[in-house]
Amino acid sequence: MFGKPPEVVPDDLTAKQYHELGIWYLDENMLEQARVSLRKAMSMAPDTETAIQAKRLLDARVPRHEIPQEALDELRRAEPQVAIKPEDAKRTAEKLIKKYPDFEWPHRLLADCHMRAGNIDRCIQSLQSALSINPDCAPALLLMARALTIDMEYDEATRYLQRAQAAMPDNDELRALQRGLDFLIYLDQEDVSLS
Amino acid sequence: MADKCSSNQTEAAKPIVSDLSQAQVEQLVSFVQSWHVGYRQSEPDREAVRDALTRLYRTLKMDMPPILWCESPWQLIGMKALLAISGTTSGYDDQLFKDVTSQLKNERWARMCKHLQQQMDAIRKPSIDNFPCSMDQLFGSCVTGDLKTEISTRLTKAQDILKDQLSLSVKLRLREAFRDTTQRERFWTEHIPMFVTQFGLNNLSMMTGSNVQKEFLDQLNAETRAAIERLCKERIKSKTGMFGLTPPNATPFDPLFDALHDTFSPPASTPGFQPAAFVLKHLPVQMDEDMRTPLVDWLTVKENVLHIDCLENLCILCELPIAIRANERSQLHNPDGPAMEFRDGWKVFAWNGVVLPEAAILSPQNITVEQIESEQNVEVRRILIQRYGMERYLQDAGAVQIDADEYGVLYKRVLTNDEPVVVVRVTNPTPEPDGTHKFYFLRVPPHITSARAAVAWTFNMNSEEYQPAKQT
Repeated sequence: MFGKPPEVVPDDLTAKQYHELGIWYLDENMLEQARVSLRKAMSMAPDTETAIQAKRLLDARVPRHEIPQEALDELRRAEPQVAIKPEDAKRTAEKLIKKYPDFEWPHRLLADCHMRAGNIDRCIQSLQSALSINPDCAPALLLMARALTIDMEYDEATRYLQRAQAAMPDNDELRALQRGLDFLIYLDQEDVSLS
Repeated sequence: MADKCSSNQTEAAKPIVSDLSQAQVEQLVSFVQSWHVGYRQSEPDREAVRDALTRLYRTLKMDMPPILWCESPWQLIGMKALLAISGTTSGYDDQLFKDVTSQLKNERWARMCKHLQQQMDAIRKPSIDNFPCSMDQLFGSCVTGDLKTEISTRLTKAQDILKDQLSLSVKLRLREAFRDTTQRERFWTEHIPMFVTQFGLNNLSMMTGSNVQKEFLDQLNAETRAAIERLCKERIKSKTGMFGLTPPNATPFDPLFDALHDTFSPPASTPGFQPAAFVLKHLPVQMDEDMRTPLVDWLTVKENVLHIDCLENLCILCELPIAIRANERSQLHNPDGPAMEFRDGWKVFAWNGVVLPEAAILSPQNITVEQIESEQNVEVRRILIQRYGMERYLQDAGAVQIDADEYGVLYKRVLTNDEPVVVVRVTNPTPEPDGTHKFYFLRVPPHITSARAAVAWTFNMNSEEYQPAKQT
């Protein structure tokens, strides 16, 4: 019934409509149009709930800089490979990083590969690269919190987790990590005894 | 489509509905609210449902058969059993049927008999002579699937036609209204199919429990019971034939309660139906009546009915619950009472989507270790253990300690037909006011064999990664 959203972002909508249209673009994987639409929503109604939600979507689901569709598609194809063929996923991430140095998502994918291989230091390095391109990239913030938790840097992990939570307040994975982290911090207190 | 949606598309496409009036916005809000889980259903509009179904049967080129309304899924099963008895040899006024209904004194059964008898006059007498058990033998083939196919086909066509009749702003308003913004509010359309999947209610027996047959037989005198048993045995013989096999645990009365194995058949499983139905019902779009009417009629059925069996010669409908309670994930859940209540007083008790015996919710203090261990359903058993208390269960069931280190104590309890329960006990170092230390149990996968690995697993790490820095 809805068909596809317009190829070109219209000029005559309200902030709320741009926000809704941005979601529609995201659903259809039209990220550049989503970026334009969500930015319009933010600029037309700054400091409103609409602007806050639009920014959250931008941070969590849209790369910071304009990226060709084929790069996005290639990355999406590589993402499921992390669990099945991690070496293939890693190769794709490295290739995309080389070709599109401003694209933060391949850095996050590479970080995921490193984490799964147990290389936490390299995982953190890759995430630092991703966050240097886009400090608000919520998936990178979440993975960083996880990596720092494993590295037992609980305070630092908490800080990243809080930043990720600001971007994705309803995320179940974040809540689960928060619970685990709280428990670890509790165990880490000097007077804790487990027996 | 792409060109029409360029920056000046609203003018170029000239949609029929360019904006929503205030009244239409209010209709939209009320329409969406009415589909939310927890919405209390009023008395079904039986006349509207009858009219809608009459037209829907006509799309299948069939006459509308009589309707049998059931107030709950439990009543649906019981009524089908009674209909099977009634259709023995001489129709509805036969002696056996009268004997049975006069002996069903239990309040719910009596209400059901009365409800059935009030509707019996309209139901045509089955024309077969041997003892029937399935509804299709009594009342012809099931055409619910055919009807749903008709609806789906029309819906797809209608959606295609509608996309050019709505302006972008109207589409955005509709998308917003029907979008599950918080992931916590779900619509009946999503909720009802979950009975089948997430709730594990694959058939009606999962919802109604297995005691319906026993409850029925317990009320009958020996003579009536023997008469029904004879009929059922006849039926089994004719059904299985010379080489047929009967399930090992089958009782002679099972054929009477075949409905227990009926798949739950909600009328609402058509993706994208609600927005289209709203548009067709409330907005001035152009659509052929033979396309619009069946979809609006299907909406009427969905708004009033939980389960539907469209047979050639009878249409069996089950009312929606009058109350429903769910957790934030839209799973049936109520820790203090019924999760679903039906008009006839029948209730479903559930804990996070798992249907439980009434006592497990209302009087958890009466749960016993024997009851837990004799429960065949793994999910139900898990909840029973949770309600009983893991700590108490481990103690009372004699769980074995398999590891203890500075991280905690690991226990294992082997269960029949289920994976072992393995839990780690962790002590809270902060003393309670009385000086004791509270400990709590965390369940971990059964492959874990050390307390350290168990504690580590609870926050998604392997034991090598987990090494709390400071402990005394």
